[in-house]
Amino acid sequence: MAERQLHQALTQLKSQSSTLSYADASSLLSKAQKLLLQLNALTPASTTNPTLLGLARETFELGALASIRAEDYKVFTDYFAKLRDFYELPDSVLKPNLDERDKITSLYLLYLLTDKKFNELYHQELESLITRHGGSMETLEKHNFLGYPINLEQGLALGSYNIALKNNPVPCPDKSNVPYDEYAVFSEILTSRLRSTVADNTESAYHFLPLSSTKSLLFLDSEGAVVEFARSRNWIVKDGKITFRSASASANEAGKEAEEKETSQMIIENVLGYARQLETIV
Amino acid sequence: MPGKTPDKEPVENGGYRGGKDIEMNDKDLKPKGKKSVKEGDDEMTVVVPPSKASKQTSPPNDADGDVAMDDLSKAEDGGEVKVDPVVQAINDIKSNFALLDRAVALFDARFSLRALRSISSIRKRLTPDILAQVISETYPASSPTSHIAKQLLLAVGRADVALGRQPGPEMEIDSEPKPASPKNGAKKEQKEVIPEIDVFLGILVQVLLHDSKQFQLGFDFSRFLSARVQSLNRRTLDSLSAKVYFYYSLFSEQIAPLPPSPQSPIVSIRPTLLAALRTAVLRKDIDTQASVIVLLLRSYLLTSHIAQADLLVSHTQFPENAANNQVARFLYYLGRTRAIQLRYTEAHEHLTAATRKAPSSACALGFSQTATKLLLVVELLMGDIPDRAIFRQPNMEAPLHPYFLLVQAVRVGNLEDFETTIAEHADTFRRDGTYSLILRLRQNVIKTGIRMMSLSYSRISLRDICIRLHLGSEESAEYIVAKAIRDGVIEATLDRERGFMKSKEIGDVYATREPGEAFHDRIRACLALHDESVKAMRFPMNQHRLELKNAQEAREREREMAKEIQDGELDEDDLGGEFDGM
Repeated sequence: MAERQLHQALTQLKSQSSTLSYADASSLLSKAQKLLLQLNALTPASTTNPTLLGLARETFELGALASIRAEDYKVFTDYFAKLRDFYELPDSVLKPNLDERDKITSLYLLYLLTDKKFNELYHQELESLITRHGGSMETLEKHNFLGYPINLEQGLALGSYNIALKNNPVPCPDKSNVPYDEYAVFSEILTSRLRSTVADNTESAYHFLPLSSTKSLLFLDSEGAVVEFARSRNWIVKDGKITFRSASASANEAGKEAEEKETSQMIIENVLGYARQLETIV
Repeated sequence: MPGKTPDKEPVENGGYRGGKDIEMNDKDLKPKGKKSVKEGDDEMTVVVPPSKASKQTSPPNDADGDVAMDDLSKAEDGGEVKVDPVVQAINDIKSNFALLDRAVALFDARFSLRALRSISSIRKRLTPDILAQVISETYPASSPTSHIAKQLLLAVGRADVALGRQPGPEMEIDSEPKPASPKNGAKKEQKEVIPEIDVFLGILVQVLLHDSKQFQLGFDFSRFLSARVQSLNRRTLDSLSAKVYFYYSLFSEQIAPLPPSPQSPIVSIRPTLLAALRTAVLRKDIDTQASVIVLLLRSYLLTSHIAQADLLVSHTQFPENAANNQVARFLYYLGRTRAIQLRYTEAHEHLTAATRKAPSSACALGFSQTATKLLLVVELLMGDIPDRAIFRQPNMEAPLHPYFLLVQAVRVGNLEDFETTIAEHADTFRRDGTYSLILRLRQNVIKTGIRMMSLSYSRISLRDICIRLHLGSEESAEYIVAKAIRDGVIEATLDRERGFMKSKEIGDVYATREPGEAFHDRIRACLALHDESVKAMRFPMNQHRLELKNAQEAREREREMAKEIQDGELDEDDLGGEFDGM
């Protein structure tokens, strides 16, 4: 009974995945999960019927995809945590659906890349992926789904942002080199993360930059956008050039004086400290 | 939990006394005379360990045990003309029983540790036959624990050996059951089996099975043994049970499917280990606690469950006074977890401590090599270049060679060398479990390369950087250099229009506060050293009293002197007068 209802909910979810609103989808999903709970298949146990396990996994996978499309990351990570248990089941118990598994895992990796604070989690996940794929990094790099986030991360770590972003869908509108639609969700966040990193780097590396090259450096569409971006970061735009140093240089002058003062104070403090110590010794 | 101990012991005791054996023992005891009676007493005190009475009666027990051992070896010497290595091994094993007995009687874990330490020397001589003989001689045929002995024998593969066989001249006739013989009865009574001896023999069986690579058998046997250890609640078993779990987990690692696969048996024994950990923590059983935490960490890392390992570390507290070796292992696994999590500073700290704590003897060479390898990689990841001296140590040089090449490549910033080293030694790195960490080093190589270039050229075009470092395009070179500048790797600026990197003039270091800071650091170190040494000084007890006394005496003398002077003022005057007179 419950199993039939579950089937029903799942087919509905699958057939209307593109048209269903997120609210409807999540109500369907919670219904499906309630049914799973009644069937005792919410978490994999040794006694659970394999077909039920398959259904449970499918439910969570659909849920994960739906939440990604709605950009509801918290729910997505919850779904992924549940799925992890299913992905570790031996093949004999539950036949793995490799495509789906790798797709969702790579989405999770992409999500982890959107913020620096997830770096630790990303590497934990990567480590277990490497073991799952026989300890070889090359196969992972060439992997259909997993290769994308992994190459992206390497590009980010190295600083070759143009390579990292080349695969990114936003600058190239045809989306041909993005393996899945869902990846596009992250591209916006990723691009803005990249842009702000690059902006930080350029600030410290250049004295001034012509507007045209700034446009290409920051992956922006037009010079108008560059000017706007420059304003948001308090850069000075003059004669078709962006000047970075002037502001920081004047700050430097003031900083130098303060530093000088600080240095002398530090020396005095140190010497006083030595004197006190000497007193205790002698 | 500990409160249960006294409850449980009498039950066991009662069960034992209610058994059929006791009658027979009594009968057996009579002909033996006074000595056996005393042994009987001891036997009973042994079962109820922590009372004061047992402590008082224990010395005679020890003596008896020793005497009995001597008798036994003499008997065997008599039987066979010279000391056979087999007999020697058997005696060595049995001498540990005396230690275990004493550990129970005195409630002192040191004796069990001593017994455990002897395993390594017994290990080389251990054969199924020796062990079977010891077992059959230790357990009487009709004791309540004989089913355990049967299990032990089964595991050794000598299930047909009868129990209750006696050492000495009668040894050859093993099929003959002779519980009725008076002498045998006495011996049996003395050996009648404290659980520590069970478990000790069990550990020997585990060792034997592990050395003879019968992993599946060993795994099954260990499951039985660990279940038994868990059912017993005796503090004197603590250090023994730690060993039992150690071998249990070791067996599980060796059974197919091997560890990286999530179906490996190491996953299935985790609940057992976690339960053991919980019990150990509740009983304040430090040995088991430390060793089980280490085993769990190892198990998680083998299947790359980093998050779980991290959770385990954050939710448990590693016992502070654990054995040094366990601490070293724990630090190593912790360092490994942290390195994977990109927390290199912590990883470095833990791994340095692990390599220092590792025993320097040759038997633990493997551990210190592995720890050193990981430490080297972490140092590289932190941007440091490891000391050349590490690679010169005689027992490290060969295994560390791939890492040496790696360090060279990173130090020079040569990306080509780096790639070839990785390709050539990929298998080694993978085996050492450092592969994924080493892949992260690529960016460090490039950074070093950029730094070298920035140091040697005051101005270099992006194209040249791109060619030297084998980067994809000038564009990416630009991004990478910009990142290096921001990360503080180099001091330089980029000129977009003319397409070059201009290094900043290296200023006069002595104009900055750097030398002052270095100087300050050194002074502080010296002062700290002085403080430390003052703190480390020892002052003998009551020394200050002596000084006080001296001081008092001195004061007295002073006072006397003052008095004399006062008295002598007259003299002085007199003198003065005399002087005057002169």
